[in-house]
Amino acid sequence: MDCRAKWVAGGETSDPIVISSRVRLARNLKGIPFPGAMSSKEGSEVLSRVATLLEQKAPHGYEVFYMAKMPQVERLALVEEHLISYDLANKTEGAVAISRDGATSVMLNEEDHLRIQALLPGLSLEEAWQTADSCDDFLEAELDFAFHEDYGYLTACPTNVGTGMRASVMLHLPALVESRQIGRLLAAIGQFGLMARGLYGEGTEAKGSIFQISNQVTCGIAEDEIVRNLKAVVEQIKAQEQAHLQKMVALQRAKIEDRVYRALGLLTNARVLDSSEAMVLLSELRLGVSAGLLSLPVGVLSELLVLMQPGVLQTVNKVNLDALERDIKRGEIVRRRLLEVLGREKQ
Amino acid sequence: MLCEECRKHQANVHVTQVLNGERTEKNLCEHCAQAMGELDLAGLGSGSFNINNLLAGIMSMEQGSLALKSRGLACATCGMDYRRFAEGGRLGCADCYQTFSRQLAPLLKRIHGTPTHQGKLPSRGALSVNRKRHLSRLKGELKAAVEQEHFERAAEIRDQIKRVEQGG
Repeated sequence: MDCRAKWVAGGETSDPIVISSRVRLARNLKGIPFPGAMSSKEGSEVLSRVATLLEQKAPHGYEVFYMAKMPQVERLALVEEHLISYDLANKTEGAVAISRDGATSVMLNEEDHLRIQALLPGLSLEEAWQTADSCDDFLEAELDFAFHEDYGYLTACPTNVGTGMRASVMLHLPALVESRQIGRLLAAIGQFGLMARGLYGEGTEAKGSIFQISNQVTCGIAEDEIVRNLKAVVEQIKAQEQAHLQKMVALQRAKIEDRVYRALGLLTNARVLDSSEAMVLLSELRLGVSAGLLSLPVGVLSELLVLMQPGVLQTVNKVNLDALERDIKRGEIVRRRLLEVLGREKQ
Repeated sequence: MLCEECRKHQANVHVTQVLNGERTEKNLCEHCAQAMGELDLAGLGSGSFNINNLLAGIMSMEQGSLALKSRGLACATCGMDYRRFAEGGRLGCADCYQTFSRQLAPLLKRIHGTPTHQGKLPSRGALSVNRKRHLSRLKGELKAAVEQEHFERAAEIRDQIKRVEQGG
């Protein structure tokens, strides 16, 4: 199994700040209790109805993976690619249908019967919404979803009711972190009905200066408005990050250049590389690209961000590795890939 | 008092935990308390702070009197009762929205501001919703036309309303 997520594999984006955009729609089948309250027979019914539909009739073609039949390390890999949630990975009733192009994944029997998500590289919220919307249209033509005249699409948790939509972007904000502006900024976005989290969702820390920002309110506001709001705020944050980065470079260019090239030196030479060190160093490279100090396709940095994660590392290379072996393999993968693209840049 | 975990150091941290309605209390030393806190954060997304936990917390805090009145209230379709909902923050099925509508109304307002759905409607089964919205918009237009004494326009709108209403 290779990386299949489009934001990782097909990532032709030149935006070093906005890593990826995602739109997720929560849907439930009419007449069946939500996953938290359904019987295992009902769970199987949801799986067979929706999975069959996606596998056999969906326009782009989907492949279905059942959590109960997957080894833990492969489930972890899907979490690291952001194709499924950590919660789904631990559900025996759960499954995910992934489109062939890796842009859409439909989680089945997570907190809701369906979680349709579209995930694309760069700032592409409109496109992600259109992608998720058309998958929803396809499913809706065949399935009856639980819907309430006033509340809209019904979900297990009242925080998702209405559009059932969570739009989010993954941002790399090292200059705002270093200039200590990030706290103030993240507090301010709350006033726009948005919230911020770390790289792997709720409750995880923001490693490598990567943050996820998403809408909080899902009811009483239309999908395109949610997208417009989030996009407007993200563009502001992006501008702030760029301004602070330029200020940093103007004040201490040599120091920053040194940091970036030291990181490059380590990543292209290290033989044992643990994941938090790799996260930090890759963040330095991304900063270098962002500041115009280093010429490297940012798609490769997103790719490495995922390839270095423990689950993906073992799944892609089809090996089970202990911690030290993983660190060695990680070093090898990062080193090879970077030297390969650097060689190409020089030519 | 000695720490209940290591039984070596002086306990100076008092931890009260309410988990699924069960209250446990512990007296720990700083070291053990920190170690336990770290353990809690170690798992990716497991048991850590998230919006749903927060929601359940708000509900149990705010709805004290409502909770008393709601005791014993259960959904006929899935069996979800109010206490379980208030603790877990999750509903059991679509009908729970009807069963617990009184308890949900203030909560939805708090989360979403105006909890009236805008945006996409299901292509099937939402005809009635579409018609209802269409009718209410037409009635608004009719009222405006009458007020502005545009009687010809008002007559047109009235005919339109009739057609929509007869449409089933």
